[in-house]
Amino acid sequence: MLAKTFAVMCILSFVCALITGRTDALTPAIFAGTSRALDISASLVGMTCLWCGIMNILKKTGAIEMLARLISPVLRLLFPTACKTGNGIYECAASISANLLGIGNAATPFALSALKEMQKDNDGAEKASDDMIMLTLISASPISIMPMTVITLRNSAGSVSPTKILVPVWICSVCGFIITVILVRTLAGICRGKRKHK
Amino acid sequence: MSLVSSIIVPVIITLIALLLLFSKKDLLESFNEGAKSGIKLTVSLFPSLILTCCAASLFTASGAGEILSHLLSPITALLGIPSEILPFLTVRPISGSASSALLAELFENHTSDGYIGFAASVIAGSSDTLFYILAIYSSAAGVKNTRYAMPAGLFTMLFTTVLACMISGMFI
Repeated sequence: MLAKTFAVMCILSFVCALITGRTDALTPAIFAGTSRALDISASLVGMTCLWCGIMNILKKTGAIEMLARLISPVLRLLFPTACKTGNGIYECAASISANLLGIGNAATPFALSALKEMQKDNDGAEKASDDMIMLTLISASPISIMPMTVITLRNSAGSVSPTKILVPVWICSVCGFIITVILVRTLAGICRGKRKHK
Repeated sequence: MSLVSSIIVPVIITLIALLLLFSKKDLLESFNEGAKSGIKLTVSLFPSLILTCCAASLFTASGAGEILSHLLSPITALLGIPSEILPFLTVRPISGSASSALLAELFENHTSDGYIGFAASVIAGSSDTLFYILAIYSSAAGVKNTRYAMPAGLFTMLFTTVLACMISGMFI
């Protein structure tokens, strides 16, 4: 999927550059992309190491187990397979909690570890399992309590009231979250039904 | 609320420090193990990250976002999405930095408190870079086929966009 998406985007970009006449912007863009990847990796390494280390401590002390038990009804709804087998469920609990608390840079490493664990349930298959898709999509449309980046941008632009967007953002992100959960569960059920009929 | 956000990380770190001080188990070793697995994880992600960032960079530099906006404008007009935020919208799932830059541009041209700036802010606050997340997460899991994830994610984003445009009018 990544290969196909990359290929489609490259061809699309080349064609569009021909249309808009910006073909000489393409080569610098590639180099900008590689250096951006390095920037992202650099920050990712640091915070991934820190939070994965903390995750291990939380596992060892049983703190994460307490958290998972606290939100277990939610976890059972979102990640039925992982709840049954226990693979990656603590990391999922940590990731969801981190997202809610607004520490996005902890949520990502937790989610990445969760996915690695979930692959064990998946028998190493090349297709993503339903739980994996659920975790990915709720990370992409989380319940956003404090959208700092946007508020900061609004402040810099001289907004009269940068935080006026809070209530609409809450409404939209909660609705988006609910829609995501409904969509994923429905599609997962449809796919499972199709597989049974085969 | 922002007090909670800013204080939560120091609180967690303090709790961890207390645990390290007073727990009888060898927690520092646990931390090392976890951190080492973190390094391996990040290094394994690097190739996917390169592809993703290059693709996103090419997309924004070539003006593909603008062309896509032109193509989509009749449909989005029906849904109540103003055409001025379309360039921002088409880039949003692909690149966080480019979408932030476009958002800043929207604020310059349409003020951050007007309808367009407000709706764009709400969309920015309730969505994320779907493409990047899908690529990184599927690479971490080791899966190549993400099945219905991309269409579902895009549908959710469309839904929140329409909702944002609808309710922004009430909040200005």
